[in-house]
Amino acid sequence: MEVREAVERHNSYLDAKGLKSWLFTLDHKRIGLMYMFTSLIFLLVGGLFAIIFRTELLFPGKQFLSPEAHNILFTLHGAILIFLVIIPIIPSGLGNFFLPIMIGARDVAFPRINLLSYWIFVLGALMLLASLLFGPIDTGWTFYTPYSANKGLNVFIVSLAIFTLGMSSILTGMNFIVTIHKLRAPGLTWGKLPLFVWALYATSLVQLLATPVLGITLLLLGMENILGIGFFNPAKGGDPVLFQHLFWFYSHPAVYIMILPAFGVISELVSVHSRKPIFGYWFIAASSLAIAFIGFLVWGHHMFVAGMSPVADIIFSFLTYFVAVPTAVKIFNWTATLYKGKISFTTPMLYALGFISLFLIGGLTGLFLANLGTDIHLHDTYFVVGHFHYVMVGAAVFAFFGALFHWTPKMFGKMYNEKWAKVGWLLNFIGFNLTFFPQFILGIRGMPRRYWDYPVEFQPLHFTSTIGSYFIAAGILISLGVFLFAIWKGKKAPDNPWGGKSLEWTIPSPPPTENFEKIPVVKEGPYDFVKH
Amino acid sequence: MEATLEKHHEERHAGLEGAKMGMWLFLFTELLLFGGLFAAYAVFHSVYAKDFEIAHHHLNRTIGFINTIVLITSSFTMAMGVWSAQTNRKNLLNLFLLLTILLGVAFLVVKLTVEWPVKFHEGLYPGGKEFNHFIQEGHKGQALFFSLYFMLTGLHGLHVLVGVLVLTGILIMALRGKFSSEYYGPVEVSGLYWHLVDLIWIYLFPLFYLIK
Amino acid sequence: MWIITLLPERASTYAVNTDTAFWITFWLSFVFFAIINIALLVFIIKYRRSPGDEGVGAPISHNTTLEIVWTVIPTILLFVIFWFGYKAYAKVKWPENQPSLEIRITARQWGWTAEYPDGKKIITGTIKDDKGITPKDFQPVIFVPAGEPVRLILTSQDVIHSFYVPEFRAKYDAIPGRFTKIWFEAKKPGEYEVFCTEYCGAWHSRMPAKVVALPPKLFERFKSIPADRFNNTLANMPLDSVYAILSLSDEEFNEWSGAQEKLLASLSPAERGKIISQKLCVSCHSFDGSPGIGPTWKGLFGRDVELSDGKRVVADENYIRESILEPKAKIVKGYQAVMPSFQGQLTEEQISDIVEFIKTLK
Repeated sequence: MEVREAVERHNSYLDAKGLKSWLFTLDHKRIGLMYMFTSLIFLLVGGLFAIIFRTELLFPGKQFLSPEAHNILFTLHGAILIFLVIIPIIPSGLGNFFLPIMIGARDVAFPRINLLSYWIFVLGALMLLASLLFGPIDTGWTFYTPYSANKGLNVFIVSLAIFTLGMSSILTGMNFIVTIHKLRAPGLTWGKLPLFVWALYATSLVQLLATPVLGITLLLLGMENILGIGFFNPAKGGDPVLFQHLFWFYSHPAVYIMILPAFGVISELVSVHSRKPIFGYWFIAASSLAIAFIGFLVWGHHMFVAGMSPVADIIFSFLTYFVAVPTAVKIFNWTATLYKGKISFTTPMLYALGFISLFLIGGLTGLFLANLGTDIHLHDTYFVVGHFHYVMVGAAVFAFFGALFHWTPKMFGKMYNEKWAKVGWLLNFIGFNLTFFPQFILGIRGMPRRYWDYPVEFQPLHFTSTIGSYFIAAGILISLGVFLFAIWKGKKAPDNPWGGKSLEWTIPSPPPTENFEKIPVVKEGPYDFVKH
Repeated sequence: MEATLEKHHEERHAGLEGAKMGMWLFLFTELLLFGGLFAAYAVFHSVYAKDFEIAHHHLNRTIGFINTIVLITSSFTMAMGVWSAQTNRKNLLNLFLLLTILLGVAFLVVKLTVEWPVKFHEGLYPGGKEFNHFIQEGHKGQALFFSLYFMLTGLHGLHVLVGVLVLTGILIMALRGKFSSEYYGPVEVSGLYWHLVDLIWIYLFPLFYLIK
Repeated sequence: MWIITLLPERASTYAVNTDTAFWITFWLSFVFFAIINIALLVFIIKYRRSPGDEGVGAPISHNTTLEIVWTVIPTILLFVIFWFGYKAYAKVKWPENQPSLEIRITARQWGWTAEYPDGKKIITGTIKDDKGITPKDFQPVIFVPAGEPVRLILTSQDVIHSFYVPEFRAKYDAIPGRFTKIWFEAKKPGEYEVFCTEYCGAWHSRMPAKVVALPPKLFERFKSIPADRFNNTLANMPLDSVYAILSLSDEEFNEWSGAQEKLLASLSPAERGKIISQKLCVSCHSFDGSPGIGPTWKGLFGRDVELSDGKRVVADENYIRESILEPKAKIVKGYQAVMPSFQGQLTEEQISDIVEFIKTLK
């Protein structure tokens, strides 16, 4: 380290150079960034797959992809984006970076386990890719049996890969919970926790409770493919519907693993960029926990036409509506936060506003799918695809980009180009609606999902959807370009460009290796915007 | 430098309280992992109750019982090990850790050299001759029984193996005198894990060996 | 025009209940969506920060009354939505009049087989080409009487499929190893497209079929045709011809039946085998040497076949017969054991017809 710099400027976690200083770091900030960049690479890969098969779907009939190739692409698109991007990118990426800082700690509770968790994640990701060497993976990311039960080594390795990714997820969740319980700075009571931390807490709980069940389910599926067992294969006495129960017992809560951190991000963005206390702090915090809890009781709504008893159908539908309540409460509170605020149209704020609008559509279309009557018609059609992407892309990815631009000045001490970042946002917003809104209409008209080909009457809507996906591609490339350019050549950022109140804004940008020179004693809440 | 020391200190501090909490959380996920299999057991047992009853006669109750005693004893020696650490009895700690490890190994030896080989010899394993026979003859429940048997005891055996390895590490640390009544977190935390492994077997034994 | 109705035509009696649930959910959602978005727009315009203003917003942090109001009102509205959903579901689940006609539908990769209680059987196949599917590709899989309830018993012989008729708002999974049931009543005669909606492999999008609702008179005629004759004639004919034949006067119809019987008798076994094979087998076994899920049939008969366990067998009549009835007994090297058994689905005569057909594929 240069002495001169050390005198002039605080030390920074970015100071140490060399590959080794990254790969074996115990610093939560560096581990967080490694997670984030790994996920960003996979975001591009998974997105590229979508662009390829959307292009195939421009017109009816075969363009250039065989049905087999199309099916492999949509499977990988789903598996990569869910397990390698959306699940880890906010909690393990940005959460890792900011959770300890926001609670006034120097690191997470178990820094070594944190690093281990990252490498397990990488191992899982590599296994996922390596499975392709043993044969095509065309089961869909849902791995429904018995279609996936007779495949062989390739599906065995994919299931082990996802089991491995699950282990990483469990370790991170455990680490975060202990961190939040044990390492809060003096004075930082539960009532003063930033809502992003509350959201991460709820997410970690879901990760701990749901992931093991997915783990064992996929382990069994893997064994079906290499040994002779047949828990899910009717030819051997097994039950394919049991697989769906076990799978959705994880995978529905997994939706909340993906969306709860996004909720936390939006609470931060809306408050900071309108310089106003968040409206209804306790309702927002409690609604995260409520969603995490109720999220475990609703998995059956994926199975209204899959052979469950009518009593189960009715109970699951009824319970599902209860998830909508805390979700609606959050939306009201974010909107109310804007009332009499001082709203600045920064890129993070635009993403937050886009999030509220798009997530609203995603959430409301969920009502149709929780509905016993309409779900029979809409189940497994493009309506589900539209709904899912409004929640996962329109909400989770928008929240990620909002958070990315919100915290870029803090993470790297550099400002991004506001004008180009807004261009990226606009492309994402237009492209997103162009891609996925037509899919609702397709579904309502009866177009099933996962189709390589479709009757000609659906062509205009498919065409629009594909064109929209090109806009998203452009939007994401530009946004990431703006981000990378900011790191490379951005103007120096002040320590607190947005006037934020939570602890990360009290330390220099980029943060010192130890985060805090002295552990702070917290007196004010994270949203106490007061006149000076 | 000072900050690094402080961080190290904090980590150790969070380690005592935090590590125990982390282990409890982890044990909970372990229960859920096995929970998925227990759920499968419950579903198939309700469908194929008769097949399960017939199939369980193939298992050797005596050996299962011996293994149960072995594991329960090992839980006791483990608890004694933790007590020895807490009360600063270092030689006793070494002894009890060694006993626990030996009992764990004994359990695995019985499993891998007596029980499983017999089943393999009889073709009572997934893909085995007798197993496939069950499926062809329409006794699919009996095939499922052995699938569950091997998955559950296999997964459990894997946990015993991991436990033995972890405890061996702890024993090496103990022999180097790392633990005292001041610092015994790792002993206690790995003890928790060992008790869970034991507990799961307590459930497995009646589910497979004592079906009525 | 459809953009206004949005949903497809309501062709079943219970479609209206589903649509009521749909529109109630839609309008409640719409109002909610509008309120939030208008509020967002008003707030961001009214309370935008002017340049240089470094002040903070009003110190409003909560309002418990408001919170309770906007927790309770959505909860009540959600009950309303649930209730209408439940009402539609009850109609779909429990018919008021028990259907007297039960048709068994067996799904497979990739096509449907419908079997009537009297033995009538219709098989649809996979459309494997590079062109888009056209309305013509939707071949009838079941004929039902318009204005009468019908029950379908669904199952599958390989993986999970799902039987979906958008215009009926009817859908249910066809699951191997169990039977699931749905019912519907077509309001008026017409043709309604059937899609598979559970992803089932490469040609998931290419198992188009159709439910044909016939006017009562035509359905009576359909019922009166003996199963054997139907299976060898109408079951394999394009829909236009079926309509034409069912609409014949009694006299003309008898004449046609007689002629058909003669024609049928004149078909060679290989020709009969070809008709069956084109429906049941070609989705996995090509006739022209191109690769598929199973080995091609071209030049198969009499050839030396290497099995996955290294043994070799000659593909003779017995081998082919065994492969149809017990496909898992001998697996050809390089292929997966995925073929379902056709035991009970094909008669001995049909199997030997298929063998005769394979013999012709040199």
